Amino acid sequence: MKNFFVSVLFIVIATMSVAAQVRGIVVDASGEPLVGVSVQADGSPVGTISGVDGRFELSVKEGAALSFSYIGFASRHMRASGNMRVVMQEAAVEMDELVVVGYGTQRKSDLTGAVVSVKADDMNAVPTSSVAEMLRGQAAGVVVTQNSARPGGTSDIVIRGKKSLNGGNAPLYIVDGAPVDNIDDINAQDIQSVEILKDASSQSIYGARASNGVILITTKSGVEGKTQVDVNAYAGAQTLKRNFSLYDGYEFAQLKREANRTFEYDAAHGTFTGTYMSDASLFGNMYQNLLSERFTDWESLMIRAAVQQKYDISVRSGTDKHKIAASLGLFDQKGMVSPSSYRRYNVSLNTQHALHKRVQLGFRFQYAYSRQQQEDGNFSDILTKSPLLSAYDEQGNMLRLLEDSKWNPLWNNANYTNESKMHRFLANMTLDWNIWGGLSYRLNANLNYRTKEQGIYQTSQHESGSVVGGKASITDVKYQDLLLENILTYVHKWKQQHTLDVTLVQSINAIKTTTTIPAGSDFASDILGYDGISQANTTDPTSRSISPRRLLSFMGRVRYNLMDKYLFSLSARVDGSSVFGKNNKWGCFPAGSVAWRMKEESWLKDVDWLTNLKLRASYGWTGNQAITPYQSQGLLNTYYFKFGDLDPMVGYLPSEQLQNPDLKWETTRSLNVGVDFGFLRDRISGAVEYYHSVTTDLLMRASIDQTTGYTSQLRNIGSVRNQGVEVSLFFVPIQYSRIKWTVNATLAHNENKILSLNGGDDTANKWFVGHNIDAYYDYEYDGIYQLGDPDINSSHASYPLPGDIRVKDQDGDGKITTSDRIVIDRDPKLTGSLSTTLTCYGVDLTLDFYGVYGAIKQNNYLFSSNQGGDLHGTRNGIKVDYWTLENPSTTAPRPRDGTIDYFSSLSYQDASYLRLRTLTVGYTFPKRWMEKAHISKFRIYFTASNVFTATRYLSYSPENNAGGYPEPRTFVGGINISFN
Amino acid sequence: MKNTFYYIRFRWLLVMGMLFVLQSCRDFLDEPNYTRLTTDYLVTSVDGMQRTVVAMYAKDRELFRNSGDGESTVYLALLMGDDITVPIAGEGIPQFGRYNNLLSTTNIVGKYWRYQYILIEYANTVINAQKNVDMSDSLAMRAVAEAKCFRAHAYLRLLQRYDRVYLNTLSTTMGESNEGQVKTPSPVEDVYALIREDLDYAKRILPLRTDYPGRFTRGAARHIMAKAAAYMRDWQTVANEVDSIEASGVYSLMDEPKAVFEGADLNHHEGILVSQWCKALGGWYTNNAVTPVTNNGHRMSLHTTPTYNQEQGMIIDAESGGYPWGRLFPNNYLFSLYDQKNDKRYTQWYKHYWTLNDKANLGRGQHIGDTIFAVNMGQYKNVHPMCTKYMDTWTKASADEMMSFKDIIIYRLAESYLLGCEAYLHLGNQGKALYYFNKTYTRAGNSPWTGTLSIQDFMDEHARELCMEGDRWNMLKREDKLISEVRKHGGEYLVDSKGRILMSDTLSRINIRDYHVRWPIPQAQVDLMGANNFPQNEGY
Repeated sequence: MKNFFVSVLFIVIATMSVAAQVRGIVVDASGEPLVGVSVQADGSPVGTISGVDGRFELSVKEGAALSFSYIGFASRHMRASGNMRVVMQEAAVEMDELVVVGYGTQRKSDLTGAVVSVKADDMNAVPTSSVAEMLRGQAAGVVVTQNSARPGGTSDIVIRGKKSLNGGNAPLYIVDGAPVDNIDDINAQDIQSVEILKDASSQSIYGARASNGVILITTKSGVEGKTQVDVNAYAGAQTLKRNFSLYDGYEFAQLKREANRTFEYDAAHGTFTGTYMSDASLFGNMYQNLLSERFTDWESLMIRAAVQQKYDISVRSGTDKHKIAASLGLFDQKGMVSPSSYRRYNVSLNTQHALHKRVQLGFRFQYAYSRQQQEDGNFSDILTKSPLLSAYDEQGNMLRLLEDSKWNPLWNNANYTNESKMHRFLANMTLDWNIWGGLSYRLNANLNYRTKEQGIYQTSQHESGSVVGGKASITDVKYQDLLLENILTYVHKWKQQHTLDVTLVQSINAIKTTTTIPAGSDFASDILGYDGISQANTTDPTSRSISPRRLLSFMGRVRYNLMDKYLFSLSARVDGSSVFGKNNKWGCFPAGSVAWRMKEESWLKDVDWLTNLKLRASYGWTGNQAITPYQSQGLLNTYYFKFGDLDPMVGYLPSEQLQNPDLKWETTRSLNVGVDFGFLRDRISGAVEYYHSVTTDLLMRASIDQTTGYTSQLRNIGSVRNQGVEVSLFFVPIQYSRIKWTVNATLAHNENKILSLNGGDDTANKWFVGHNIDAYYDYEYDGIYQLGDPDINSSHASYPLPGDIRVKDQDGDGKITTSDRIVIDRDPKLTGSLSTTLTCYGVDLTLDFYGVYGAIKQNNYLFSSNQGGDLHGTRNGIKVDYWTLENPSTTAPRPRDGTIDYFSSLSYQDASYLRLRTLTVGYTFPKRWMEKAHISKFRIYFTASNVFTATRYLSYSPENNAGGYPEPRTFVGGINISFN
Repeated sequence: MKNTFYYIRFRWLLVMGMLFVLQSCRDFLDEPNYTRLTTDYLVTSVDGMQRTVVAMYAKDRELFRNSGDGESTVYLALLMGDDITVPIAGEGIPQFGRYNNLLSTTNIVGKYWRYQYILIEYANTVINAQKNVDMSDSLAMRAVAEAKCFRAHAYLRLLQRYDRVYLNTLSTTMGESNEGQVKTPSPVEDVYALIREDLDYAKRILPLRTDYPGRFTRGAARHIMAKAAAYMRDWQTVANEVDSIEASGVYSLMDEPKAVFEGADLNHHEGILVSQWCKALGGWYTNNAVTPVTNNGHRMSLHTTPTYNQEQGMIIDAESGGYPWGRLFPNNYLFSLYDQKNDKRYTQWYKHYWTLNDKANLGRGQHIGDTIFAVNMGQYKNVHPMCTKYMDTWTKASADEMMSFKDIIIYRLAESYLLGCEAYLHLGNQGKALYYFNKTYTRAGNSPWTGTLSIQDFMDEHARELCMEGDRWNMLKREDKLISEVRKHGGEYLVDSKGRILMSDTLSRINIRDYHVRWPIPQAQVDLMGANNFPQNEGY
């Protein structure tokens, strides 16, 4: 849309006539020439634009008033003179920037809701395949959490707190007007801008899908004028980092000895004596390794530094009738754990063509092909292998079974294939027709089609495959999403003071996901892998599921702008969704907002230090329909049963979840109040927002009394409140022609609280009134029983021994019962980011910090046996100072080969962290060096991501779940080149 | 002018187009169902009722292992906590094996309750669907009779472990839900009356023999009736049912004790109710494609085999027991009850020694075939004598395969006989008691018992015959001996001839309390029904 604006200017300028010439050059603050600056003689049609070298010529009289304007820069007014040098200053806050909002665009200054615009350049500074990950820290109140750090892994976005227990918390993604279910395979280099709609008035035009927020992505379009070619490339390496130690061979052996020490406790005399087992019988088959000190570092066997690279090329060009943008991209990431990898190819084509002076046709096409390979098993399986076990025999052959008779995870990994191939097509056609004056019509037709084929093969040598002679499955997923929208807009301006803007939308959306899974086992040969599935001796019944989702919507919006000071907006959307119960298909979502541009008032207009002041308020309803289909119907599960040698029979049973024909929308009502401000010629600017939203009719899987034969039912019960404050600040402490320092900071506080639930607390799901949706429910750690503790005999716990965990008797009844558990809220108190960029004579340095404060997270590494935390001496894990008779620790219990009671009480850690997410150093070569090669920009840079993390949470990353694929630290070097 | 007209007409078209969409929206928002049947199918046709019953057998198998569950085996908890076993490691051991920390929130306590009530709901659905179908159809009657067996069996299992239950005969699936109503514990007599009524129906309808191994038969209904009556100490009913089973001529003891548990398929003439497993579709099938894990057999073989492979010079092989987890073992008290020379069961149902089998890892002075003699507790735990009733050398593709697909005997004739013995002892009929006692006692190779039988003699034979088959705990409870027996013999304390402690796990003796004769009601369920209406069992 920005481009559209520019091209309108071009058309105006094209009518100029040449006479006496005024020459000059337009440069930016750093002295670099600016291309395409509009130069206009005031009060006359004469004008031009600056060329590639920033130079311009204009036939006006000397002394004539000239205006210089360029998007993103403050306009300048100068008198024409012989040889002009015009220095344009970047507008710190781009007040007249066009912002994409739902079903249209708006001047940023006209916004009445809370909308954050993220620039593509800031996003692309982070070397990742995930657009969601790039948005982390870019906007206050937008929390990104990583699902998986594996190559091709995804991240979740939560805007202004979780509002739903079961309905999903993912925002709605709209790419060029088309809703898509994820943005994982979009090439970030194709993105022009990302807008995040945070308040109800901006969201509610998307009605039933909007309560989790809306993210609008606009891809790059063609530009009129000279052809521009951009080449971007980077390559680098990923390495592993962690902030804990594992046990080495000796330490592990000692842990195992302690875990198998037998104790005699004489309560009467308070004596505790421990006897070690003999090493020979304790270590069994591992004894030889211990004697010969043949220890294995499993982490290093599995994890190694890996390469990551990305290459993009794009072309943008156009005439007044036809515009085109095309791009090609390649992203390739090898995993630190072999053979995991991800490779993605992107192709995109955006064209616009004027069919008629009133009719314009637009066509956008995006295609992505990706291939992801995954490793076998859980990452923790490898990490937690005992160092006394050897992966290879003395001849260097990989062992199948280890000394403890468990399967070698490396062996399993070598006999495993898991690859997913995905194709995604997104085709979007728009037909714009300017019917009459301010009345226009747009037809928006979208086809979003995705296929994914995941093939898994476990060879006949693999732990699971060996049981059945090799096992293959192919999961075939087809996703199709069709959208047709009729959009009518009407804009009317009268008396220079009133602008009315009406939008009407009718939309029909049909989504269908079809999954087919053939599977088979017992193969003559492993050579063909899963592609040989037709030769399986045993074939499993093919699994097939179809999940439809349909949405029918009507939307209307009226915006009214009075004297550019008072802005009003009213909207309503009516949505009908197929996933809800028969009686509750339809929902209505109205919203309204007002804004007051105080700075435009006469009494503030002349206050120089104040550049901008705007107050905003909005209130509205939004919905959530993100439940899986069929929850309102009772469907049957299939069971097979084989009596003796007879052929298997098919049987059916209902699921354990009771259907609910009355299911309806979750509704969120939210208030947003905000103030935008700018001081000192926008050297300091920003926004402060307060919001308060209450979600009612929460879709909740209510536990029901099991004597009914069902365990749960999805119901509209309960409510959740999210309220918080967001602050975004932008400073420009230094701004000279060639040195500029900017600081961008965001800080957000969200308080998430369950207000009511069906019949009070739900301990099974860990939902408690007055607490976060995400909470833990456990005993409170109260130390380690020590020998000689006076209370050890009369203790409230059941028969503790020295070295056992003591938990708090909350109700003081002298016993530890289930009522002694406490609720632990997980949500962070504050999330924030700080990004600072210093540009100095072509050198740019960016530091990007991201921080989370006050989050509590359970650390499975500290207690769970699967993550090696159990102190059984069978799996390696995070080294802790455990209790022994000789070292009576107060921080970790006595190792043993049995379950340690209340062990999980020790695992709740403060997961606050401060991370230097990216550090980028770049150098842009001066333009004059490049001119001959038609290069308008040449920049080289180096980026390090996840440089350091300050946290007390012991893990590979405080964002990672224990056992998850570890998050890498990445170092890349890259170039950006633009030709024209 | 012409242009204007054209535009206006077009706008009308647009409006009409939108109205058309509005018209068709009613159908558009219906949720079409492509790939799955709905519950209507189950409750409106005889075929649906039969299909429900078939699936219930699959659901019933979850007692032995729930798919999608990492580790737990609910059934193992039913074998623990008596006087003849010792637990070593693993889930549920502290709670059920050592009576330490058995809480109303313990996972398995909740699961067992849930399994039973879910089966009861399915049974209620089939039984109450009678009104929708032609009940003169013999297939419909069969389906109802089997459903009634499931229901009676589930209520019996609930009574045995919880004592306090809510009697529900409504089908929530059919919309008869009583969810949210006040629920108080039902009188045990009412529950027993329903069990009796259901099984009477089943005995009338079900055939003596079935072509479908594993399905309920008249004999299975009688056996469950006998067990329910024993729970109620209704000894005359127990005696009558056992006499009928004996008189039916369908069942007979296997000749050798060994033969009872030999093979993957245990549908033999001693079995009355056998859980069906096999490594094929319907044997315990889940589509592995969905979650690429392992095949879902059961883990009873893992649980009952000691971790012998951790000894130096030992590698996993089929003869040694296959893949081991080492959770539950017979104790030395049990062994002391056998005539170790003459009682075949002592050698045929237990593996007492392990011999070295790993050539590559022999220690100094070790030879293949050497018997391992433990000299300390850690070592003894690795080579603890095991009960071989679940040992599986038949269904595993390789020795180290973890899952077993061997059938599990739920009830067998030997148990019926011992129920008969127990009942006649209480009824004071020594002759009949002795008759049933000697059935298993002599099959094992002992010479017939001739003296007077006491309850203790019966209990000893029960231990020798039915060790680790799931009835010990129930029997001790109904005989009011659970607490005293566990205090005397629970766990294991073993010292070898040189005075070395080989085994010392007697926590169950110290920990057991009077209230441990029943499990706690799952706390979440007490919360949902309201502690005032449905109080927690005393002591918990």
